[in-house]
Amino acid sequence: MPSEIITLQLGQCGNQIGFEFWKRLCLEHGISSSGVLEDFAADGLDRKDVFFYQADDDHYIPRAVLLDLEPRVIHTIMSSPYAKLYNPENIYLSKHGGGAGNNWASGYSQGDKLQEEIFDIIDREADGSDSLEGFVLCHSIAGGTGSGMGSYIMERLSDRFPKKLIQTYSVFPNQDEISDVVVQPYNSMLTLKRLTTCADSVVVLDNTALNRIAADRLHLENPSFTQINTLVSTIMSVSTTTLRYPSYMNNNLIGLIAPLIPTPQLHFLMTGYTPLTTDNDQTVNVRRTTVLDVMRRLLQPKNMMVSTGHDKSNHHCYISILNIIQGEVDPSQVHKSLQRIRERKLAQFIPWGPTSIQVALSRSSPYVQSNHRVSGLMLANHTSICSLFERALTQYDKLKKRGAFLDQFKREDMFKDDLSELDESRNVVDCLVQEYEAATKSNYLQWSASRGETE
Amino acid sequence: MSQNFKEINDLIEKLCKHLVGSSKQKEALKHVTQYFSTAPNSFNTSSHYDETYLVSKIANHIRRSRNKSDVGLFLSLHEQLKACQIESKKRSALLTFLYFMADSPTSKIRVSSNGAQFNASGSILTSTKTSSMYQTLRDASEGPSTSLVPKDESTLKLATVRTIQLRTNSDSDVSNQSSGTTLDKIDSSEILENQTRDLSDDTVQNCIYSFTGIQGKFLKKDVNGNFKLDPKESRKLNITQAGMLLRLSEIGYYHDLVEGYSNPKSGKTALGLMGQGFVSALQAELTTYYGMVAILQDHYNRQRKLSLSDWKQCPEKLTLVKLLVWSGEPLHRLQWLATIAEACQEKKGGVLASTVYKFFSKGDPVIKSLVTDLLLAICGPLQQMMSRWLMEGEIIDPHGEFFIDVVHEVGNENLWKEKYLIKESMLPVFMSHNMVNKILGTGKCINFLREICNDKSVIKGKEELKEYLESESEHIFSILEDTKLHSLIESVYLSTSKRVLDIMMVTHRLMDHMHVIRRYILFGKGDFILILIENLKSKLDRPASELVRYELTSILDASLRSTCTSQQESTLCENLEFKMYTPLAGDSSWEIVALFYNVKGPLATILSSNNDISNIFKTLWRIKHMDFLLSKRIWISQIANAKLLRPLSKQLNPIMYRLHFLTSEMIHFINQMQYYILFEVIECSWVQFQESVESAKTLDEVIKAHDIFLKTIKIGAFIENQSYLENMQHVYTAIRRLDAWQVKFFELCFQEMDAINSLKKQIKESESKGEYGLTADRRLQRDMETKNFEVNLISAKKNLDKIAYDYELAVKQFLLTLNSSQDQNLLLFGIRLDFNEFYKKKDQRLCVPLTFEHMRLSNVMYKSGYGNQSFFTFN
Repeated sequence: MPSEIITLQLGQCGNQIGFEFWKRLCLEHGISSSGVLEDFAADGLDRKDVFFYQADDDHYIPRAVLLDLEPRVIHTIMSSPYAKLYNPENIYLSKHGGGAGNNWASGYSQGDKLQEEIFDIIDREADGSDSLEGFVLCHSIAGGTGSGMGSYIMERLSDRFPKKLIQTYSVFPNQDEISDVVVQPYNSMLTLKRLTTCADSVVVLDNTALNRIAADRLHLENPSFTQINTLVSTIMSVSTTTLRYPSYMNNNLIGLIAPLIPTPQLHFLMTGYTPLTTDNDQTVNVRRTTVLDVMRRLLQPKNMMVSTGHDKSNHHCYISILNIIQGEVDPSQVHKSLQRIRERKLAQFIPWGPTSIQVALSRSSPYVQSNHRVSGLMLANHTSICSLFERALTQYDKLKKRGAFLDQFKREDMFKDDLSELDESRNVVDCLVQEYEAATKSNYLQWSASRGETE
Repeated sequence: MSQNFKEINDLIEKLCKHLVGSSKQKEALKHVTQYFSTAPNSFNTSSHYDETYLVSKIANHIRRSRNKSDVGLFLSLHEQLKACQIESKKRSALLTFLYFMADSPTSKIRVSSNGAQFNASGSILTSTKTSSMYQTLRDASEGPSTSLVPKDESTLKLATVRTIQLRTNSDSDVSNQSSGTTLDKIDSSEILENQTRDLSDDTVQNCIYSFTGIQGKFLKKDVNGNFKLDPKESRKLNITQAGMLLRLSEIGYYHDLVEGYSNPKSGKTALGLMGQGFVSALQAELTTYYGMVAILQDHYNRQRKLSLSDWKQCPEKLTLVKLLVWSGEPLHRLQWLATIAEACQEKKGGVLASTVYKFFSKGDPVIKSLVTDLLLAICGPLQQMMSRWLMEGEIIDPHGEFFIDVVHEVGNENLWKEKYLIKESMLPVFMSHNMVNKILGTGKCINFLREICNDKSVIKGKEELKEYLESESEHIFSILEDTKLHSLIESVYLSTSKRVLDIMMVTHRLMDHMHVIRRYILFGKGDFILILIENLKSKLDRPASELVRYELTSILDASLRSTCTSQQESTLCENLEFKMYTPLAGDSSWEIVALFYNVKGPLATILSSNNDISNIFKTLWRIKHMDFLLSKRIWISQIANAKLLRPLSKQLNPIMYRLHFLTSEMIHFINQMQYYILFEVIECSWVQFQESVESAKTLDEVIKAHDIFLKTIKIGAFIENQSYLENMQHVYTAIRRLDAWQVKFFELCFQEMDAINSLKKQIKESESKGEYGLTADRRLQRDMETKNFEVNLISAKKNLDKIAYDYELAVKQFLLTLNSSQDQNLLLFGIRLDFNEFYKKKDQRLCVPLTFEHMRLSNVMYKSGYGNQSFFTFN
């Protein structure tokens, strides 16, 4: 009964971050690139069965499903040392291999066409687990496969597995550079609708912020995909560390996210991680890290992996916070740090319900050496995340007003008759922004009640 | 001199009165004062006379006043005096005194210079020789005492007395005969002298009798045992003799007392083995004393034997004055013995030793050595008991005198904690608690090793201690605990304890067991608990009466199997067992089960506080159950159903959001509570526990650390605090009510959803058939359904509000209790529960300074808060 989690990797981006994630997990659990447990990890007290299962010959296989409509990334994975790690039956490549052409609609309709084959794999995986807890989806919201097919799969998953959690690691596009995908605002909007309505928890990985952090904090001038993806895999692995190295609390996915998400719509989480260093950068680590340092730094916007822009009115606030602290931590220090944070009012909280900084003290892998005494990951539900959606709305509106690039969409079945799906998505996202705004005020409850009545 | 003049005058007056009687007192006084006035320096210069000068002066004087033969006598006496090796200064002082006595021509005091000199020298002789004489007396007395059975020591005394009496009788016969034969030869002055001699001898004999408590001619006992002068006989005595007799008879009184205390038949003796030691020490003292008396008697007898002419030359003639001098030390000793023995009446064991020890601090070295002798005799049995206990762990204590008590009723399972106890009443005061605890610990360890660990290895240092205990017994009551004995006890204690500790820590791997307890019973392994709850929920949701224990056991085993553990740990996990409590009315199955760690053998000594562990488990289990209800039932179905019920969101939103809010409040509360108990209480005290175990040198320290560990958790988890428990109970009740409410609520919603869907389907079907619309009946039915649903929603909302109200009341009350707590940790926990001051803003009382008034008010508020709470049901 290990509360299994099935990971679905979709599209180029999803497979890339997924690949990094599994690499990281193998390293932490002492599993070789071919799935064999290393000798030194023979008597580990970690839980490998949440993310892996054991084949008949006892080697470990990730509970991962790799999906893509074009072969490039999956071929790279299959030619890497980790090729033997995955169950080949779980890798699905569309036969024509033409991809989705960065078109959400194409991805969505291909998902529809391929659903039987895809859900054969997913059902098999689900049946193979004792007590499946949920699905984790890795994808980007801007492209075609990850966003379009991802959206389709999310819809189906929530139909077929209503009581299983759907968590996503969704990569948001970099706003600082001009994207070569012109329909990105449409793709984002359509995916955001599904993330709002179908997913239960979305961990937002904002490429804008990731690149900025890589440049500012890690001093990388032109961060490569791999470097960014290492950051992402760190976040993914640390955010699941309490599931894999269980201690007193937060030992299942639901226990991890239920306290973070008070109302079903407000489930977009941002992350922060500290201290950040790259492999070749040893000079940064000159100070002694304490729990208070870590917790304080986690509250600084510059360490956030989401670029929320300047909050001029300064009214945004935390709905909930979970800090996963790893390393040599004396539990009594945590309390003192929380006291300090409260005294100095370093974090602003919602006025409509009780909330606080929750702390999960976690063991970390004995096989990965860290330069830091203490490190921390923050999973936070913060109302300022709506600025990301507002930005998406603005960009969408700009494009939609001109009616630009809509032909590609009209080619697909969904948009043959009208573009109402686009408007509906915009509406859903707009409502979400409103709800986040409402959540900053103390009359959130009244607002939600009145919305129900007026609609 | 002028200041003291009056005093001196009085003294001289008294002196004169004593010496010559009141009739001639005035005359004598006149002479004395004249003498003083003519020779004012006589006091200061008296000792400055040269000895030879004095001797010649005295010789001249004798030549002048008596015949020449007396001069020779004097000179030979002087030679004898010299031979006595007295300090020359004293000698000359003596001579000076004699000279002045003789030299004052007008002195009426009839003092024989010979007698005086003899007396004085005799007294000096006794005083200088006392100690050595004492020794010889003692030696003499030990002869018979060793030959006799020690128990019959009292008879020894009788025997000695009897022999003395026999001798005196025969002596007096001899002297009578001799006096008879020589009577006609002596002149009248000699008769007078003979009379004096008889009188003085009688008094001396009487005194010697009285020394052993026997009445005589002059001295008779009154009802209280005090010696009184016989009124008839005492007329013969002059006042000096009478006084001296009475003074001397005092010693007899004390002798009687001591004899009484040393005679077991008197019922006044000390009791027990140690009491016997004390009594025999008293008897030994008495024997010594009798020996001394016997020598006196012997001396007296010899003196009586001497012929009359020799009598004058008798070198060591016994007189009352001599006896007085002699009696000083024995009297002192007997007085103290009597005092001590009186204090020890009917006492035994440690009390006896303590009582005697109290006299130890007296400054007098004689008393100190006396008390030391007594203590040694008393502590003999104690030392044997201690030695037995320290070597073998056995208690041989028929009279209940040892300061360690064994409770035979206590079985081996409680051997460590309850079987051996310190008997405070029997604790000698000279043994510190620290030392006694170590002694207790040593024997306990030996028993523990033998009875429970089946360990028979020899602990080093024991033999040395044993020898030392037997040889240097005096160290036991040393004032400072720095003797070798103490350090030996300490080292034996430490090595025995080390052995026990090693067995516990290394052989039986105590800490491994503790790790298992922490992980499995104190929730350190969260995944195990989750699996256990998941597996047990179907069983525990049934009524308590249907619960069967073997089902629990098999589920426990299954859960353990699906939790990943190391090989070593899974062996230890076999000790985990479920305990089922008898259900009380209203208890759900969840409340009557608890895990405990069932361990036998040596470890049970430490881990036997299973009740505490089970209680802690129960508390944690309930919180975890609530956590489970909230996340895996309430929250997850809200999230899932929110998607499904989206079409009804317009109607449902007001209730749904209320529900979300309440749920998130509850999740927050339960989560913070869990965090506080698990991390801040259990984990923090676990760290402390580990530290104390690492530094522990004895098993007791480990047990203490374990007790503190459990106690801290019990306090931290509010297990023993009724007011917290009650509020937590209300919170839990609210959560369970919410769960029940939500099930019914979603049923209601899906009923409506189904109704709407079936209507839509009907419309679609009728459309496809080309028929138009719905019948009026169907429409009416649908309207009714909608109306019913709306009414039901309103009542559901009311019920939800009631749950929310009760819940918030309970939380508020809990916060208030925390806020008014004295414990810093609880105050901080209160702050954690209301980190963003949500409750504080809602309730002014939480901001109010913590006054008594405020605490009282909040209590009153609370009591009236719960009136009619019932589980939610739909009409």
